Amino acid sequence: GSIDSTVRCWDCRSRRPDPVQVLDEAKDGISSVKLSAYEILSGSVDGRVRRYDLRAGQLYSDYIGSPITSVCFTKDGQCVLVASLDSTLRLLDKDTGELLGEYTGHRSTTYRLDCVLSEQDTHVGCASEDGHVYFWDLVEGSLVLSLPVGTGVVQSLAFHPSLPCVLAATQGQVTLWREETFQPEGDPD
Amino acid sequence: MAAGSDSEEEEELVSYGAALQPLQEGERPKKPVPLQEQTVKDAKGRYQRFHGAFTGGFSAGYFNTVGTKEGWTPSAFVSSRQKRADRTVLGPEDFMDEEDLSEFGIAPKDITTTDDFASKTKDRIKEKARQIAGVVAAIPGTTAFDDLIGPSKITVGVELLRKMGWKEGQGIGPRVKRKPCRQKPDPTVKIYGCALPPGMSEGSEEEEDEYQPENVTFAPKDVMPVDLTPKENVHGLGYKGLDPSQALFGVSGREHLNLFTGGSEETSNLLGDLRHSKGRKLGITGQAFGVGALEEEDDDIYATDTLSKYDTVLKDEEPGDGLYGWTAPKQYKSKKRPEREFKYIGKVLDGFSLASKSSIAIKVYPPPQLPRNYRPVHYFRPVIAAGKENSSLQKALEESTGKLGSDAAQHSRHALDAAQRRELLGETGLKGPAPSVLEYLSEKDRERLKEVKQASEQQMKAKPVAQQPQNRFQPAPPEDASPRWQMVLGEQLANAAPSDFKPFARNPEKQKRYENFVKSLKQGEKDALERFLDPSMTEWERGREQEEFVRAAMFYRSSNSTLSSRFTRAKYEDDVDKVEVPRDQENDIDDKETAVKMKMFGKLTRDKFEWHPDKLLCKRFNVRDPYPDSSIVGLPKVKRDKYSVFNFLTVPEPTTSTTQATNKQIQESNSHNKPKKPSRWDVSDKEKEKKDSISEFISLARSKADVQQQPPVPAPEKCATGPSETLPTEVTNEGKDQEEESKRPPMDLFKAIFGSSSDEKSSSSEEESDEEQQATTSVMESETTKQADKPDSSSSSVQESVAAATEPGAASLSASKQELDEAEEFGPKLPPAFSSGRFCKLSDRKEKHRKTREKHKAKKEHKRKKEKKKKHKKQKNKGKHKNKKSEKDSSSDTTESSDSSDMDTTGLSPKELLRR
Repeated sequence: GSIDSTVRCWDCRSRRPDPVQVLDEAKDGISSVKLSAYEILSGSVDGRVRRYDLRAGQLYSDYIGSPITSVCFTKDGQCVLVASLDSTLRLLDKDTGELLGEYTGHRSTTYRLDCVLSEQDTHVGCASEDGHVYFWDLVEGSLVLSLPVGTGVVQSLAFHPSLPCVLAATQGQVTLWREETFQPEGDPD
Repeated sequence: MAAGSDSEEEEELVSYGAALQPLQEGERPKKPVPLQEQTVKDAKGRYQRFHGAFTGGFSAGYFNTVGTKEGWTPSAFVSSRQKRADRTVLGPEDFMDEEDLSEFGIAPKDITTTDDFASKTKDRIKEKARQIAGVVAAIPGTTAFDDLIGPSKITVGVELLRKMGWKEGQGIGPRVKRKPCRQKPDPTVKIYGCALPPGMSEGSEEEEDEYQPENVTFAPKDVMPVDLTPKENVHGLGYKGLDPSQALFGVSGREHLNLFTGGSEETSNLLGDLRHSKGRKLGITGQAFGVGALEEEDDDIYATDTLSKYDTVLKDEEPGDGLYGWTAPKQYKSKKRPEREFKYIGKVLDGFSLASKSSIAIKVYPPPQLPRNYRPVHYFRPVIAAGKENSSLQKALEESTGKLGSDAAQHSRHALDAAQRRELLGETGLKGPAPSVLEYLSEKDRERLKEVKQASEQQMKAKPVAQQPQNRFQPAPPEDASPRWQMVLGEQLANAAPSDFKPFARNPEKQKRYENFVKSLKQGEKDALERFLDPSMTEWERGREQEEFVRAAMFYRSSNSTLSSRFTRAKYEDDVDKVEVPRDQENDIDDKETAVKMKMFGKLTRDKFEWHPDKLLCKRFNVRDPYPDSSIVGLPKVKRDKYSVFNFLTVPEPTTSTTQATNKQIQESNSHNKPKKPSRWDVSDKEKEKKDSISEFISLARSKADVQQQPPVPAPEKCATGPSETLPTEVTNEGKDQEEESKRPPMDLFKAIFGSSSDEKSSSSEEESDEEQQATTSVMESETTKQADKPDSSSSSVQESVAAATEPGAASLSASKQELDEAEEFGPKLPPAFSSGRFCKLSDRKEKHRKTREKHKAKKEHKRKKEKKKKHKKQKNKGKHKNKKSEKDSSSDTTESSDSSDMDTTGLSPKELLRR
C-alpha cells in the first residue's frame, strides 16, 4: 500500500523489481493493507475499503466516508474491521458490506492508528490518541477495557494471533500486555 | 466538382521552399545533422573559410593545409635574370587569399563607382575631416592651401553639367521667367520686438518685392541635398559638439572674414550681433558673470587672426537664401534685409542663430472628451442596506456611480451561465452527477427556491452588503441549542483551508449566504447564521436553510476530499480519439455519504466490480484464475469515443436513480418539513408558531445527536403535527409518484441502451424506491381505518424499518417487545404514538405490504429474481438498524431461504455461532 493510491503486488520469488500487479483503483493514499488466503484488503484515505477477491475475480468497494486508518479481517474471515478518522471502528460484513457493529469512545482524528481483533474474535481493540488502548466487546459493542499505555498517541498496536497478548507502542516505548495469570518463562516463580 | 475546385485551389496556392521528398516505404527518416557537424563548403568542395589572411582569419591553402591537392610543392625557382624588364611589381593583392578578394573580403573585386563618378555628397565627411585636420594641424590652414593649389577633382557629372551651362549654386532645369516664390513669413511665426515703423510694414515690402528686372530669367533654385547621414551618437537632436575652430580660436565659424562679399559686415550684422564674441580669448570661455549694463565691451585687440577666419572656398554666402549668390543684384540684397529684420529685431543671443526655417506650429490635440455623465468627484459609496425601503435609493446610487451599466451587462445574454439560461428557457435540468446538496431537494422544493429567488431578485441584485441592519430587528430565529454545533463547526472550519466548495452553486444568493455564514463561523461568531439569512424568508424557511447550511458545513470536509477524489491525474493522452474508460466506475459518493450518515451500510455503500487479478498473483495466492482466458488485468476497460455523449451518460444513470432514492429517503425522513405547496405557508400564524416549535425541537435534537442527523427528525414531527398533516403528505407522495413516473421513461431508455453495463445496484435501488412507492400508495388505498392510516401514510423508510424490526416479533410478542426496546435505543426513534399492542397489526400489515409488493413485482416483471429482491429488501431494512441483535437476525434471514424469512427469528447462522 502506498501513498500514491496504489497497492502493488510483488513476486518475492522472482527477482524482478517491478510489481506483478498494481491495484490503482484508490483515489487517495492507501493506509492499510491486509491479506487473507485469497483476498487483498486495502483501506484508503479516500474513505473506501476495497477488497480484491482473487478467487471470485471481484472487487468490492465499501464506502465508509471518513479516511480509513486501519483495516483487518476477523479470524473467521467473515467480517472486516475498519478504523477511520471519525473516531469510529466499524465491523462490516465481508460479503454484503453491511454494518454489523460500531465501536466508539476512543479518539482517532489525525493519526493512523491500528485496530486489532483478539485471538478469538471476542473483542475489538483500537489504539487511541489519548494514550489508551480501548477494547470493546465484539458482539455487545460496549467498551470493556481501556488500557492506559502512555500519555501520548499509541502509534502501533498488535494482538497475538493465538494468545491473549497485546503489544502496544507509544513514544519510543513498547509495552507487552499479558493476562494476569501469565508467568514469564524465565521467572522462577 | 469538389475535386476540380481542389485542383484549382492547389494551383492558386503559393508554396515556399522545396518540398521534402516523400518517404519511401521502409525507409527510415534521415536524422538531422547535428550542429557541430554542419559545414559550409565552397564551390570546389573545400571547407568554406569566412576569413582570409588579411581579415584576421587563419587561412591555409588546401583544406586548411598549406598544400594543394597534390601535396605541398614549393614553387620552382625561376631565374629572373633575363626577365628583369618585365618583372612586375607585386601589390598587396598578390598576397591575398581568395577570401580577401571576395565580396566580403578586404579588397572586394566587385564593380564599384570610382571617385570620378561618385556622388559629391559621399565625400562630404571626408572633406569635413580634412577641414578639421587643416585647422587642428600644426600649421593650421595648410590643407586649405592644398585645396587652393592642388587641382580639384571634379566628378564627371559636374563636368557634364558645367558643359551644359550649369553653374554651381544653381538648380537644374529650364530657366524660369517669373520670380521665384518669395519666402513669405509664416503666419505662425511670432514676431518679437516692438512694432515696425509703418514704412517698413508688409505693404511696403510687398511693393518693393514687386521689383523684377526685365528680360531676366533665373535659374531654378538649387535643391539643397538632404543630409541623410544617420544619427549614430547618443547626443541630443541637433547637437554638434564643440566646434574646434570656435573652441581654439574664440571665433565663431560665422565670423570668417568674408573676403568676397561687399556687404559682409552687413550680413554679419544681419545674422546677429557678434560684438560679444569678438572679445573672446583663446580657449573656451564663457561669460559667466556677464557684461554689466553700463559696461561696454571692447574688441579684444589681442585676438589672433587666424586663417580659419578666412573663407577659402567661393560659395554662396547666404545660407537662408542661396538664390542669387553673392552676385545678386544689389537692390534685391538690400531689399531682402528689412524682411529679415522684420522677423526679428532684437539681438540674437550668443550661440544662437536665426532659424532659417520657421518652426512648425505644434499641433495641439484636444484632450479626450469626457463622458457626459462624468463627475470629477470621487464618490465614496455609503453602505446602504438593501431593504425594501432602501432599494430605490440604492438604485439611484448605483446609477450615479455608473454601476448600473455593468449590472445590465451582467444580465445580458452572454453573461448568463448555462443554468440561468436554462432557467429562462424553462428547461429541465440535466441529469448529471449530483453536484450539490440541492440535488437532494425535491422538485417542489427547488421550485420554491426559485420563487424565493425571483421574489428577492431585485433586492438581491443590489446587495453587496447583506441585510445586516434589517436582520437586527428580526426576531432571532429559534436556535437556542446552536452553540454546540457552532463550536464544533467553528473548530472544523478554522483549520480548513478556504476552498471552492459550493454546495449551493445553483442558487448564487444562497451560496453567497452560505459563504458568509461559513466565514463568520470561522471567526467564531455566534449569531453568524441569523445575520446572513434572507429576511424575506419565512421563519420556517430560515430554519430550514439554517439546517441546510449547518449540514453543508458538516459535509464540508468530507466533500473536500470528495471533490479532490473527482480529479485525478490524466490517464489518457489528449490526442487520442478513443479512450480507455473503466467499464464500471465507483458511483458518485454523494449518495453514499448520505447513506453513511444514515448508517445504511450495505448495498448502498457497496460497489462491486469485475476485477481481473494477474495470473502470477493467482498462482502465488494459490488460487485458480477466475478468468482463465481473459487477458485483462485489473478492472475491465471499454474503448469509447473520447467525447462521446455515452461516456457521460453512463455515469449519471446510476447516480440519478440512487439520488432519487436517497432523495426520497431524506424527504421522507423530514417530509413534514418540506413545503408541500407554496400556498401552505400562508395558512395561519398558529401553524407558523407550531412550526417554530418544531424547528426548535429539531435543532435541539440535532445538536444532541449531530452524528445521527436524519433519523430523529420524523419522530418529533409526527408528534407535533399530528393527524392534520397526513392528508397533504399523501398528496405529496402521490405527486411524487407521478413525478417519478414521468421521469421513468428516459431511464428505461438508458437501460435499453446500456443494458449490459448498467449497474446492478442502481437498477435495484431504483426498483426498490419504486417498490416502496408503489407499496405505500397501494397500502394507502387499501387502508380504511383512519387510525391505521396515520403511521402508515407517512410511509417513511424509517418506519418501515421499524416494522421490519418488529416483524419477526409476530411469532412471539415479548421477543419483539424486547427488540423494539433495543431498536429505540440504537436505531431511529419510533413515533411515541406507537404502542406495543399494535405490533401484531403492524406485522399483519407488513405482510400485506409484502403481498402487494410481490404482486406488483410480478406485474412489473423485473429482470431480477424475486429472491434477490427480497433479500435486498431485507438487507436494506437491516441497514437501517443500529441494533446489533436485530441485525444479526435479519442477516441470518438473508442467509436463510427467502421463503421462510418472514417467520424465522430464532435460528442463528453458523456465522454467528462461529463468532461466539
